[in-house]
Amino acid sequence: MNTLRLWRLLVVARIRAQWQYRASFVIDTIASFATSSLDFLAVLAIFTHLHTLGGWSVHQVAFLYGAGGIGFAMADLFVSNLEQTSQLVRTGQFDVMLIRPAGTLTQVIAGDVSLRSVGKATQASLVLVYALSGAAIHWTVGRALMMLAIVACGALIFSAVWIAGSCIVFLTVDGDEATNAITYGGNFFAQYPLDVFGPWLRRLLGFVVPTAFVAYFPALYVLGKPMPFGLPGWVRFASPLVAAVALGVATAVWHIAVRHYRSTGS
Amino acid sequence: MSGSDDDTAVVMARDLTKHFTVRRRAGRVRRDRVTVEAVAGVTFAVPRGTIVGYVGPNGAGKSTTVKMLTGILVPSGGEVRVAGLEPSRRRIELARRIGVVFGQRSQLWWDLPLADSFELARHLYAVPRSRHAARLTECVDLLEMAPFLQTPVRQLSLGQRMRGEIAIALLHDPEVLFLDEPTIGLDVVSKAKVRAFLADLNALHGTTIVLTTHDLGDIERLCSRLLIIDHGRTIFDGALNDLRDRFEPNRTLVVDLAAPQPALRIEGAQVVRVDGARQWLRFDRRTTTAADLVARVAVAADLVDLTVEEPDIEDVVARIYRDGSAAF
Amino acid sequence: MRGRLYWQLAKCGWRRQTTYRAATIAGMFTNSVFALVQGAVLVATLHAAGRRIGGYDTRDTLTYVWLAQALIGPLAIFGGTEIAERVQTGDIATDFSRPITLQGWWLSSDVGRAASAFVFRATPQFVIGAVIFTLAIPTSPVRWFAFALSVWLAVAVCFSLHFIADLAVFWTISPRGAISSQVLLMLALSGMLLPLGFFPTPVAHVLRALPWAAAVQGPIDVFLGHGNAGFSLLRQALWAVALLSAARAMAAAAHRKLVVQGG
Repeated sequence: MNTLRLWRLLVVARIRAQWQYRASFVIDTIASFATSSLDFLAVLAIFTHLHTLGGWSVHQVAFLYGAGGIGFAMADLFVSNLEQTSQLVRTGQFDVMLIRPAGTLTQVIAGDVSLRSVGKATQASLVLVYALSGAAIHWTVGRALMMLAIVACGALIFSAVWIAGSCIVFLTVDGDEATNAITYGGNFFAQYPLDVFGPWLRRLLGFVVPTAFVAYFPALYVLGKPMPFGLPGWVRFASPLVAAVALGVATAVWHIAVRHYRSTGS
Repeated sequence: MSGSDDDTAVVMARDLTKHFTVRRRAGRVRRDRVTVEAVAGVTFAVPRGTIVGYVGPNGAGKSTTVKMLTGILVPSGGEVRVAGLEPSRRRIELARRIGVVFGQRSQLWWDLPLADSFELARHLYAVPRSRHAARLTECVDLLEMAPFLQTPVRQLSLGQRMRGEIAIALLHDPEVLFLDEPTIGLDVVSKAKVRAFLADLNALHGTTIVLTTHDLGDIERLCSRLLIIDHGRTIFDGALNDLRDRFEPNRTLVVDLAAPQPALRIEGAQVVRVDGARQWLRFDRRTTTAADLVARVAVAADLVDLTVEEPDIEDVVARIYRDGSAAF
Repeated sequence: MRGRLYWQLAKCGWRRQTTYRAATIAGMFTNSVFALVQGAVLVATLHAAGRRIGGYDTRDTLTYVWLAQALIGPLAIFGGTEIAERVQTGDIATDFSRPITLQGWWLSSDVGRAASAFVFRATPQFVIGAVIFTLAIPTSPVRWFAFALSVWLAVAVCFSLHFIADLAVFWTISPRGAISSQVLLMLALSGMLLPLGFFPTPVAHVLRALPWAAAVQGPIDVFLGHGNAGFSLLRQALWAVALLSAARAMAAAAHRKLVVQGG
């Protein structure tokens, strides 16, 4: 049975189950909207003291925030059930995934969908609207297409980060909080221009965990900003490639990690 | 084991080992790495169509073995074949051909009705609709699940849930069914239902069944063959009766005499209890037969009735656990 | 007698916290990454502004960032749903039947947990920051003493806020509302998000007067020597007393509800 159909089937079952708790869904969505608004509140508070941060105006930072935020919210919507991996491993319930004729990654991801992320996506979209209203972009077909690419690549890159990050629980089951450093931490990092960070942080959270390709590099193209750090111009268009490679690496890491599963839960 | 066994054996393990590295506290901050041999070289073969019981005390390596047979754990050494496949390498292929029931893990979707879980399983295992329907009807009938088919799994009793677990493991008509503690925590009635169902399944469909259990009632009712594992090693592999003969040669002859008497003095036996006119004589069946003994008692006293008691399997196994392989 | 019981509960809380060493290391790693990112952003902000903001120079800002991240563990900023879970499962009834108040029981174990988190998580966490950056470390013993006092008051404030939100589950249909609001308010208003001085002055004034500021900004102000430490401690103490009393009243009301309606 192909992966996509299986995924759809399991997800529909989850949505049916979640439908029993509609009140919770509404509250969670509002909470998701409000919580992600806080980060932007911080951005606005910072800009009460200055005009540009690392050479970026408030609208340009809002562009990074909004465009990257939509991608992150989509990754959150579809793959954040990976956060349950530690619980599955701790209780031994992961055993059940291994005796079914389907990939473990598909099963964990399809274990649930985080519908509340709609709140986060809505908030990020509003910020993006705010950004586009003030960023004075010279629209071309290429730039419009790049907007779509940003959202898609952002979702894929963050999904890859989530997959790879979750693998730590197969080594040490209580280490799951470290995953947050690159998922939520990666998203936090991607909300600001790469220019404000020192070289090591830039390399680790911008390139090794490739969050700089979520919004920053494509944004240079859309906003018509010059390439920093002496990088060649094509880097601005590398996001789809980076997303594909990241997903490939992440799934490979997952498959290696699963072979270290110890099934110690009882 | 000779190579030809592999052809008929649907489950095969040869020198199978699994070790884990664990960190143990060694003082306030320091932790030492210790290697634990959960399974230390287990060899057996299960012919198609048999029911094998796999028993051992807690931590003996039962579950670890089953997890290697089902592809959940990657073995550290040795060889495993189930339905001709190497489980951990060809996990997905194998999953279509085996069924697994864990007494302590659920394969059901806990907040959906039981029927929905069965429907999801149909898609998951890609079972044709008609075959699925026929199989489901059979399971629902035999396991008497009709009354709670539409109930969300979280509201089912343990006995009902376990019947659901067994059904979902069988809907794709597996060649081998592995059960890990299937009757744990069940009441007497549910236990009996589950055992009867498994016996029928084996008789009607010829499904090979491997079950681990602590409940020797499961073994007595179901298994023609028994594997006992302790400290990661097989210490017994054979029929239930062989087990009694090998580990507990003593039998008890219970005699009812015409009138109360002091303890009899009979050659080759020892009176272990006297209660009114009834006496219990223990003898070693390797040196004395029950028939000889009865003849001798008849000479010594006025015999009214007699029975020979087999040793309780629970006691035998408890003794093996206690003494370990030293019991040999 | 009662004192011994509280002490035992605190010790249990301490031990529970120390069991998960991998979790502590993972948590420190994550907090460090956030501190690095937030530190870089705020330092860039100071550079771009070309002046102090809300009394913070670069060194104060970095100290704030590492201290705030270090306090997440002891103050359980994102934590505290255990009581809510017990309300939902009905286990809370056993808590009420103990020979000690509900609040006393949970507060004692939370104090033990916080102490352990402070020693094994917050301290090494802050040391990491102090090794990488030059941080503003108090030299006067009085300041250290005031800081220790301030952290304990913050623990009491945080505990009470969590406790109140958790017990609210008795009256709400869905447990999530009260709990997510509590986490949200804590993040927004306590000084976790930004030093309160970074907000526009009138906003900062209001935020400082609210109970959430007593949880995070309070101890940090004392540590950095911003404002009058005595006044800051007094404000924290008042909030701690007020919230502990409110939590107590809430527990009593919950008990009445439990007795009358059977849960």
